[in-house]
Amino acid sequence: MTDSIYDQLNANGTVGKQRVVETFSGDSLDTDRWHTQQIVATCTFAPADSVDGGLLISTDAGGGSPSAYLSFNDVCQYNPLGFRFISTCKKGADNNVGIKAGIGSDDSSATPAHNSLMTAGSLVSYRALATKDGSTGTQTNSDVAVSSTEFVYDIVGNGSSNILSLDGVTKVTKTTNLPTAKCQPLLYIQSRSTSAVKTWNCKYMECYNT
Amino acid sequence: MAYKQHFIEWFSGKQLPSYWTGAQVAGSGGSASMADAIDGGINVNSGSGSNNSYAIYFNNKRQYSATGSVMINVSKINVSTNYRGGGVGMSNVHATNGNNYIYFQNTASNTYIKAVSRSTSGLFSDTSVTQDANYHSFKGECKSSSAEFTIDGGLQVTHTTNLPTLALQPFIYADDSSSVSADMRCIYCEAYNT
Repeated sequence: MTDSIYDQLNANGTVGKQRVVETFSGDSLDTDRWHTQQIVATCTFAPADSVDGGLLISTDAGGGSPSAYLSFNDVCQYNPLGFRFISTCKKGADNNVGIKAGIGSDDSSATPAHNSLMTAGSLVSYRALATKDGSTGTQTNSDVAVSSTEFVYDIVGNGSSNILSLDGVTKVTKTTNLPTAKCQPLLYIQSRSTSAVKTWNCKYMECYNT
Repeated sequence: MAYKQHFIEWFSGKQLPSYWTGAQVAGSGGSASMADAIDGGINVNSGSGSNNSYAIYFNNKRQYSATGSVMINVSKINVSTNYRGGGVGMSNVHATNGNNYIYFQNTASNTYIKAVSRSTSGLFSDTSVTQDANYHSFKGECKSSSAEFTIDGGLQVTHTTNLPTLALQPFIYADDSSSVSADMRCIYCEAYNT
């Protein structure tokens, strides 16, 4: 087997495209890579001191829906017409939380103008794929109920569809309201309904152009 | 087999990671910043003026062997006009004004991308890949008695003289020779000892 990571990821003779791999392991978040964009009040993104904890994403305990993104500070290097986003999600015990993660064109509001996002928590009854094409945003549910069980999800965009897979099984295919503007990886949390700390964990994120 | 030094850089995120150092090699006004563009990677800019050059490197932390290492880089000149662009490779000093390096000279004033190696004097060889503003994958391998230069999966040039002898570090540089600044874009860098 080749020693080269590049040769394992790219067929011989092909030129690799933009990619990022984040394992969320270490003593602090890599703030060269990541930007914390607070939307309401204050949320935190910090390594979890627990086995397989990855990154612990937390709201503060206040009301008014504290919410925030982890983003690339609107440095958008990913192509919504040809991308793949792979990550993990483990929702905390409190169900009153909104979770979104995937790619989006901006981090300035709860719904980026262009996006393709896995959605979980009390935003939906079932894990879902939400997309927005610059003006219209829609969401399609999977058949997997929201729970605190950790799962792997995968969003693939090819210009004609965005496909959400959960734990390796294709669950949602969307062909309308797909993003078209350049995007960045996004991880989002929102406290909903009650005043308490809400959390979710992410231990892996990979995004690349295809 | 013992694990050897290995480094991977995706050049994706809000800014250049702090384990890279940026330096103005000549002139002024250069920079290195993430490009807000699809497949944008890092943009290394020479600075505007005449004969400016800017490089990113490991601040002379040289962990790669001149006689047993590989460098892989996906990069392009972000210009199509006839002024200089830059290069990617591994060097003992932070840029091509020092001794001991191998690199690909990805410069718009050339017809072909060049393979370059140097200990005390430089050897410049044309590859068969025409200079353009497209991304290419560059692989340079330092062996005990040769240096091999591969572009887009095809071996282009093998040097058996003018080989570096001192330890190396990755570097990427942009270089201009006119009043227009030059940009090098890079979306991947990997280096490892063999």
